[in-house]
Amino acid sequence: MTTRISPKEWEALSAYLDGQLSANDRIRLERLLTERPEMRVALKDLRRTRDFLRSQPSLRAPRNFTLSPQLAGIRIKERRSSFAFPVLSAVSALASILLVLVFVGDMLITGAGPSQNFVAQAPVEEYLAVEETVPESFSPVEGEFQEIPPTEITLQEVQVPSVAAEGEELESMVEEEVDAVSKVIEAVDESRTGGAIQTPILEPVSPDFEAVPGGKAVHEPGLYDEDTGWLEPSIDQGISSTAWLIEKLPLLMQRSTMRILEVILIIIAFSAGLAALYILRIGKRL
Amino acid sequence: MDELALISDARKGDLDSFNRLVLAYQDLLYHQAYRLMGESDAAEDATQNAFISAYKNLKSFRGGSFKAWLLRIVTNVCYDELRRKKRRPTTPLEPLNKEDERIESPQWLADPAESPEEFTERSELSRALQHCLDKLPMDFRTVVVLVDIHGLDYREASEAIGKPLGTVKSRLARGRLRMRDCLGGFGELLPPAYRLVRES
Repeated sequence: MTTRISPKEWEALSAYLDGQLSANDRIRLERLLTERPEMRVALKDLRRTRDFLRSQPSLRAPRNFTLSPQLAGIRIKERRSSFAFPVLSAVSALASILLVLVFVGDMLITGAGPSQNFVAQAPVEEYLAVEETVPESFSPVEGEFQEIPPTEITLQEVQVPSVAAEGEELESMVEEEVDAVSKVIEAVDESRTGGAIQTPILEPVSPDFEAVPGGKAVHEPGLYDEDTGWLEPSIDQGISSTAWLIEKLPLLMQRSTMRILEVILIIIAFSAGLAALYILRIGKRL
Repeated sequence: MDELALISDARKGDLDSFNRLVLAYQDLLYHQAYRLMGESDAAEDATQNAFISAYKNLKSFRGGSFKAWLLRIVTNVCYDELRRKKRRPTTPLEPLNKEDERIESPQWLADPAESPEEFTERSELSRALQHCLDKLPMDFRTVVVLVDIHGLDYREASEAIGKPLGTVKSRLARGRLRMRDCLGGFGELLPPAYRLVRES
């Protein structure tokens, strides 16, 4: 039966059911319906099918689909995190790069190696060198010291092995310091002997030096400051150390600035990186 | 309910106004999703996703029928989900009894207000209808559901599927014809008033 009805006619029948045909088409179709019984049967079947479909009860939603702020705010949070994450990541990366650059610059300025201690080693080594020249015959009695021939203390005997390794600049600096020390010693000698006696009288350079019976002078551990490398101020060392400090002050200031900058960059890099990681994890939970 | 005022407030970010619209249209959207998907769980997901999508894209609504706009969104969500299922087919979890046999009429579908006979008849008819709808091509099914089940006129259906009126007419006629042929196979199940002439 359906084979004799063309698709166009089925479409017209369907539209006719819904009142969607134009006046001309409707008149033409109604004429066909009177002429062709199969068209009338087809129209009845279509109407029953449509009525059956329309008779189906409307389904009710099994629950409410209202949106919670969390559901509705997903996109807002994603936007925030998607904005903050790349910014924080970039800040962390930039701080890391700057940190590396500053660190390399710091190394180039101060030189590789034990840079933390070299500035302090000069006076210490010098001090110890002077100390080691005290002869075995040095056996002090309480309140006085044995005289030592002046030849016992010479510039050549003041050895500063570690300074030699630090380069010419430091070597010259140490030589100046040695000059200053020898001049001070000579001045002390002259003031005590009036210039008549050539042999200087050694005095403890610091009250913390303990004279050991047997001729060895021992340096108490507590006198040496491990952090700064400076000795406790004494008559001789106080003069030379102050001069040395004044001379090296710009360098020390520059290095302190570098250290502060490095610490700041480390803090920024770590905190920004951690914040970016936190935002990333929060975003994944959403 | 002043629909336009609610839409206007919702566009400004008033979630309560939007939720009032949700309550007004959730049955319609769920029914549409259920008829297109054929599964209640999938229909629930599609309905929820459709409302979320509607809220997010409310600014793109440029007047006209809000109902048709919502139906278009839920239809698109169902299309996407059906396409995804086609790419990655899954085995649905059917309710089983103690003998591991599929339960034809799960207990939670029963309506306590109707008799067992009525429930059986309704569920059988509903299954027959859904079976025939499932056999329709997606384009035909959408138009048949919109016009014959939800009662939209051709213009609203045209808005809902984003196609011209002629397409709606054509798809509806071919869809009805296929439904008629399919339902003819369930002749005994259909109430006498709906039995096809050629069957009787």
